[in-house]
Amino acid sequence: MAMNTPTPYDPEDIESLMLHKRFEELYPEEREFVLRHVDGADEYESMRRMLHDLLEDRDSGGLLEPDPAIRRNLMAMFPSEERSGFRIWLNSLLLKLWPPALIWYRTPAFQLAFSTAALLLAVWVIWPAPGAELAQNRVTPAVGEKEALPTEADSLVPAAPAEVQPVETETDHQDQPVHAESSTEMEITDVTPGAYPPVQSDDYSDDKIAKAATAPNNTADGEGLSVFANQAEKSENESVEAMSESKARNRKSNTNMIQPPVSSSMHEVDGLLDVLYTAR
Amino acid sequence: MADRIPYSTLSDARLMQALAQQDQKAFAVLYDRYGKLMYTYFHKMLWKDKERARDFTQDLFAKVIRRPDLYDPSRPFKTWLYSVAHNMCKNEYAKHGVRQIAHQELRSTGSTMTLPVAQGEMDRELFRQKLTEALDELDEVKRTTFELRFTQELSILEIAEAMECSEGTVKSRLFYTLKELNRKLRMFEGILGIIILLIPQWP
Repeated sequence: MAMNTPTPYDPEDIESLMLHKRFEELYPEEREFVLRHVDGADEYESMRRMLHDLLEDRDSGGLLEPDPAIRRNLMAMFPSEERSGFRIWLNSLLLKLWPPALIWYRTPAFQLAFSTAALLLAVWVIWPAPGAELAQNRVTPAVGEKEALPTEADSLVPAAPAEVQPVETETDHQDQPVHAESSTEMEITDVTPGAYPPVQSDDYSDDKIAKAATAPNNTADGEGLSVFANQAEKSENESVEAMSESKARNRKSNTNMIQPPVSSSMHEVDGLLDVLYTAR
Repeated sequence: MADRIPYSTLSDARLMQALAQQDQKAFAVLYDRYGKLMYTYFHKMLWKDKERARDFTQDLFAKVIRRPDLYDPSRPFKTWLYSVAHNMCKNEYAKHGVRQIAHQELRSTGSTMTLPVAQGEMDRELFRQKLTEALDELDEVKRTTFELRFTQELSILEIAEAMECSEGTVKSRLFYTLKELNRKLRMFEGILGIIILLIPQWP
């Protein structure tokens, strides 16, 4: 019966013996065990006293209180509730896409093949098709071309109103020769039908202009530059009026519709008219 | 079912399982259980440096949060935590040339130490100071074993697991540590007795 009662100390543990028994209280076999480790009763009692002091000191000292900031900082390491839900959703999606049970996609051969396919796909998507490049070349103006294509900004800008020159009298240009070349070399290529009245080619033919320029001012039959100038003045006035009206009409219509591209040929027409004025 | 049980009643292993799922409340309970213990341990092991103890405590629990998978559920959480803390201290000792700094600090404080002598027996505060000095003169292994046993109240088995050695080794280390401390404190008692005799007018 006595053998089965649990002892509060371990007979093979000297620390336990010191805590529970004085040297005099030790059994002979315990004393024998203790004396194998300590020099004698004095050392045993001294160690025993120190051990009790240690435990008493520990109990009185207690545990230190850590800084509350430690706890706050550690709690801040956890993600917020909203983010955690999003993360769980993402994780589950990734797990469905790439289940960890499957290991075939971890093989280097598959990874290499997949990377190559992805690279080729990216190149195919990004690289421009040869046909598209040709089409682009067709639209792109040639390097040596002088006249640039009208831009959208140019087309939206309304045409500058033609400045109507004041009608000069006949005497202003009596002594000045008329340079017919300037009117013959220009070609009207881009005239919108209906925008301008048709020019009477008979009245402004090169031959007549040249003839009038070379003819003396005072002739016997009354023909000459003055006569021609009268006719020209009359037709010019008509055409200028018609042109002003049409330009005003065009300007009014520009508020509602996009202005057609104003090419330099339009300016050539204006220049031609200026020349004709000068010729007068 | 497990959610209805209060967290405070859950075992450490169960709380660690919950922590692996980023359960903040589980961590809060674990910190409440071991925060003070760990802070006190670091404070004693790291030259009573409060700032260092604070940093180490935070680092230790940050490791618990970041890598809960490192915990082996077959082992008690407490001993695992102490083993991690013990390794952190070992690294710190290696980093700072271990004992030299502590010795210098202790010698500087020891020179200015006053002696609040009590009549008849050693004063508690004085005993604590001399014990601390004697402990700091021990080597790292003995000191750690002593702290785990007498400050952190770990069992022999838990200390063996935390320090990754056998129980017999722990017992042996503890005994020789106690013997060495006893010798140093007895010397101090002798010196103290002489001081008391020399200064009888001490209040």
